[in-house]
Amino acid sequence: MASGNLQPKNKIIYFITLFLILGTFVSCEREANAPSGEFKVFNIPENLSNGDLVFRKGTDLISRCVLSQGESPRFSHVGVIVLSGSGVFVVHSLPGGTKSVNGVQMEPLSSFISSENASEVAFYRAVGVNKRSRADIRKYLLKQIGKPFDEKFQLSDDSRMYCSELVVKAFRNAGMNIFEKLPTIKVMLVDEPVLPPGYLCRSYHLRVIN
Amino acid sequence: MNARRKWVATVLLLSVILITGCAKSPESTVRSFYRAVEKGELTEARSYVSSQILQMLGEAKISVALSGETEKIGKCGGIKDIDVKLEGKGQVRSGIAVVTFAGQCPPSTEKVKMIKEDGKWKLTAEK
Repeated sequence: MASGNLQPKNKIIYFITLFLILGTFVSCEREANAPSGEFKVFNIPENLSNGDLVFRKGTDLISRCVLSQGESPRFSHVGVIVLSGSGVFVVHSLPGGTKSVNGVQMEPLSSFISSENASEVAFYRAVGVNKRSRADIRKYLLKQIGKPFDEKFQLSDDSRMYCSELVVKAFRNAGMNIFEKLPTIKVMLVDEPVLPPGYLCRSYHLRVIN
Repeated sequence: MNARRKWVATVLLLSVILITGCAKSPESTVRSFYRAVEKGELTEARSYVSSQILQMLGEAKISVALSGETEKIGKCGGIKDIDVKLEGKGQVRSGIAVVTFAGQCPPSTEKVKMIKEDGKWKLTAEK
């Protein structure tokens, strides 16, 4: 044993050090295996890139008991992945709330998909998206940051953006009209047809990223 | 001010009080939603859900979802109390609803989001 030739005082220090190192490993192991309770951790694909889409479902009453019904995914929000030197971000548009900023914003992916914000998450990639279109999508999205949320849900107006509108226009700007034939819904008090976020992932031009 | 003017002013004031007083607060809308679901009154429960959600899913699917909730509440012995705490201003409110049950089930805490549609508070999905 390596401690065989050590002086008694050094032996004590050696065992204390060994104990502390082992203790650290054991406590890390415990933490990793700790029951997560109601917190859900979502897997993030390793190969995410600019222009990939991230959908989420909220954690509220209606998301749980209404949007969760049936087999098809029903997401309540969508954003677009933007890579930055400091990590992976999501550019998305939110209506202002008690805790959220109004309008187009850039948020770390880890926060976007945190268990506080999401009960379900899925990542999608457009078929045929290339380096050039990814760059165009990224550039367009960064230019939109700060625009207010479009509470009138008007696709015809670029001064305000709702979440699906931001995605559709970012891809359209990159020459990819991949959401044009999707169904829309008519919402009371809204003049134009609305494209809900959950409908975007029905596009035949999108593939799930695992 | 003559008697006729006083009368008109009183009627107007009473009308304003009645109109504002009769409009459901977002908190009472949440409570009414839960109570309607508890009783299985799905048409009423649907009326508290935002039109965007109704349009997106359709009434039939929403009714199936809500009837599942009715069953769950029934298994918990019915609702004993609903405590709603909302924050926000303007057309949006969000917060939590804590539902306690008459039976053995533990209390349920749910996030809720409300939007104002056509002057009425409706439940919607969080982004």
